[in-house]
Amino acid sequence: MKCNEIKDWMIDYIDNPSLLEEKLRNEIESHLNSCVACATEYKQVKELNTKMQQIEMVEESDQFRNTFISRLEKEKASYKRKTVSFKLNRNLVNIAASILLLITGSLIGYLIAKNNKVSKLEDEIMSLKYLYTSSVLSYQTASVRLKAISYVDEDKSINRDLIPILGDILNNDENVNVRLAAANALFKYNHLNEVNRLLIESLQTQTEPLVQIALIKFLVDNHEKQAVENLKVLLERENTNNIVKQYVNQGLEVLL
Amino acid sequence: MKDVSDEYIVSEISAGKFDNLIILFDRYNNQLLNYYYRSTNDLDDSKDLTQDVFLRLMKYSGSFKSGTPFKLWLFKIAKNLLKDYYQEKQKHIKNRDKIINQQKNLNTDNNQVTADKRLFSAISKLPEEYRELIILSRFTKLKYSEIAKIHEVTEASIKNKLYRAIIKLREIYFEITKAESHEM
Repeated sequence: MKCNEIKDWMIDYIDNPSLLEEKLRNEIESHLNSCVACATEYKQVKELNTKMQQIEMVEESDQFRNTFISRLEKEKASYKRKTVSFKLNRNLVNIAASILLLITGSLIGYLIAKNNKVSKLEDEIMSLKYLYTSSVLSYQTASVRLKAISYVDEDKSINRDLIPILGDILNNDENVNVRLAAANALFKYNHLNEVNRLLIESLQTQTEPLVQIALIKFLVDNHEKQAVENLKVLLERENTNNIVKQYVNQGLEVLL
Repeated sequence: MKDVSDEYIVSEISAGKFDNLIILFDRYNNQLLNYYYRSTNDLDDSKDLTQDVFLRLMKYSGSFKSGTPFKLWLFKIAKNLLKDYYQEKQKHIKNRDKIINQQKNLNTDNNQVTADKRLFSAISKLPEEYRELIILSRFTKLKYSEIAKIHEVTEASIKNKLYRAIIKLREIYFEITKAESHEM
């Protein structure tokens, strides 16, 4: 084997020599043993390659995902707006909504910021309860509700008082992303039977494919056999989304 | 649990079910983020770019040709956005290397290992096509077969070119090392 021929195989050889055919591997190795130039090149390239592989990929938090979801919501809205004729007084509504958002946002910010006085968890429950008992909040404040749930979700500790509240949000919030966030927050309680029962029951009420998929994946991954009945119902329902049906079918295969 | 195919999800998106984009976002945001981060050296811009790609999918989902692998399409869109990003930046500063060098200087104070810094500085000095290849294969973790499809060449030629790219990188890397040891 000549110097220029060997270059065609070097990446494979560096990645994993054992994947090459034995004959080819022997030829490469005997060339490397006899050619100092190629051997040096190989050694240095391998060294750099190892260095690159040791560099970890950057990871992003849920915050990144939530920003994406709010941008998506905005984009969807502007999509709809383009199709409907533009109404002038919409501007006024938007301004009013922004002011409302600002006020509720700072109120919640205040509730959460006074961590020093009350424990953080109590604050979370308070802000969540506040959100779901107060009638001030209309659908305009979905992002505020999302934020409140993400505080709960980021906390690694467990608090049973939150379960019914999150369950309520999961079943009743009008915004799909808020419901999804509530589901995700509940998933970390997967060792509690009451949570799994709540999630199985929720399958009956959810109509949004994203939430349905999240629930199905969770229940199947946790081998929750009691979910089988509700999954079958979902499959038989006429208005069930096709992607969801595929998930149900795969899920039933695993569970049965 | 096995997942529903990307291509099927795109077809649902093009039918107006935009929330399904979140599924695709969950699958690919990390690869795209790393692709952009290693290309721009700017994490905030990379986050924006990554989100932009998925929002663009929403607009163009109708033009997705069935039969094409989704990932190929995704990275072509990602590549175009990166090109736009460079052009936008060039309006303000004449060449990209200047931006990267500036960022390098800004970064000198943090405690990133010197060897890593040297490596990324060497990567930023590579010719564009070599740089892209190294970023796609080593920092975005795409398979050779996937990169080959994006570039519409054979897998063998991708591997050959990658080897040459790393040889070139080695030259630059050792030059930087030498220059640094002179400074000391």
